[in-house]
Amino acid sequence: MKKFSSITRVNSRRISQTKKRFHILLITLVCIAALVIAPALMRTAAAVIVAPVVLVKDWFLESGSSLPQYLRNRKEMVDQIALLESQLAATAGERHTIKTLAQENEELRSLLGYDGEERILAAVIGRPGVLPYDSLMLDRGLDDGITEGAPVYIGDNTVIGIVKNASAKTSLVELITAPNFESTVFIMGPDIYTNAVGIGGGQLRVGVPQGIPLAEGDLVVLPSITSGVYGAISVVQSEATRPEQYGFVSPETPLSSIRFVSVGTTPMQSISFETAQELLGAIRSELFTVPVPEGILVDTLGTGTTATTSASTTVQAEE
Amino acid sequence: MKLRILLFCAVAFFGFVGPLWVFLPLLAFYIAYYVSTEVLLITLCIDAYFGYGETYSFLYTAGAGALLLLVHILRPTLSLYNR
Repeated sequence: MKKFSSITRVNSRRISQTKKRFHILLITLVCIAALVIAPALMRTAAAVIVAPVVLVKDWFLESGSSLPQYLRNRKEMVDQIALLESQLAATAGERHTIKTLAQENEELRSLLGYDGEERILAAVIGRPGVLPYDSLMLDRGLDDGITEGAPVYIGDNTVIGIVKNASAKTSLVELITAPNFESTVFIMGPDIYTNAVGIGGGQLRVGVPQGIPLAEGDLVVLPSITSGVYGAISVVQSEATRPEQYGFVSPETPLSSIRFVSVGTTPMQSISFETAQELLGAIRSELFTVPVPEGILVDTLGTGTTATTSASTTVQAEE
Repeated sequence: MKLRILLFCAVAFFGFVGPLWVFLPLLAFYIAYYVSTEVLLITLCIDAYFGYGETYSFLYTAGAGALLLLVHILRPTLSLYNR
């Protein structure tokens, strides 16, 4: 009788464990199905929980209200006391501060001084490595005029991504370098169109057949966006035994050091090949030509008003 | 129970605002220690909010679910639960 009871108890425990495993599996599958079937609905529901937490963090770190400012100032004072304990460290700290402020000043001038389309200045409050996905979080949202699908720039004309969703106070940016993100690019130098694939960490990879003269420093343009220069090819990976070669493109400013970006006010729209060609022509003339006064310019073409950095690019730009 | 609630809130907070290197170990610890499905609510929110528009927007939910199952299967052999 005792043996029978023991066997029954073990069997019952086994059944209970199997049930619990099935329970875990079922809940996981239901969650995944909900994410796949109704992503927009799930995002809206999740925003109710996540957005307040993000807002509190933003308020604490960025806001000008008394309490967070007091706490921040207090922390700065403690840091300063620690710095003053060592004169050498203090001097280094001051130098660093001046450098940071100068850099920030230059960055802001560059972002606001752009005289093309109207843009919105936004601070980066989350970046890859901190956020769960390869994206940026900005401190501006729908209330500030951010629209979904708008391009996001660093500096004057370097596009780094598009706004994939925006809430009232914050917005999430999908980077064009997110893994498997495909975009059409134009490489200046060999002058070819090709597809670029994001590989994460702010890097794009372009693949072209062997024989095409791909070189480090070639500028890469995103023709789908006005003034969309992304960056330059930093490394070329070419093996004679393989039919293709790869160029790795990175922007001038690394993603990890971006603190401010500017966001276009109009969402991106698909453009035709002809329009892309016109945009490329405009980018070329903007980048490579400078107005030279009459009488100084020596030119066989007889245009007499502009000079170019290289004869070959001029000819191709005019084509 | 209080500790569990606090830990749950900490996992949720670090999951929503980062950094990842704090969130992931906390999540793994919570799963290993409590072997409970409420963490799936956090990963569901993360996937739905931050992963919106991505190709595989269920990585964290799938990962947490798989880890839960694994811990549950290994539980009888882990010394943590046999003390």
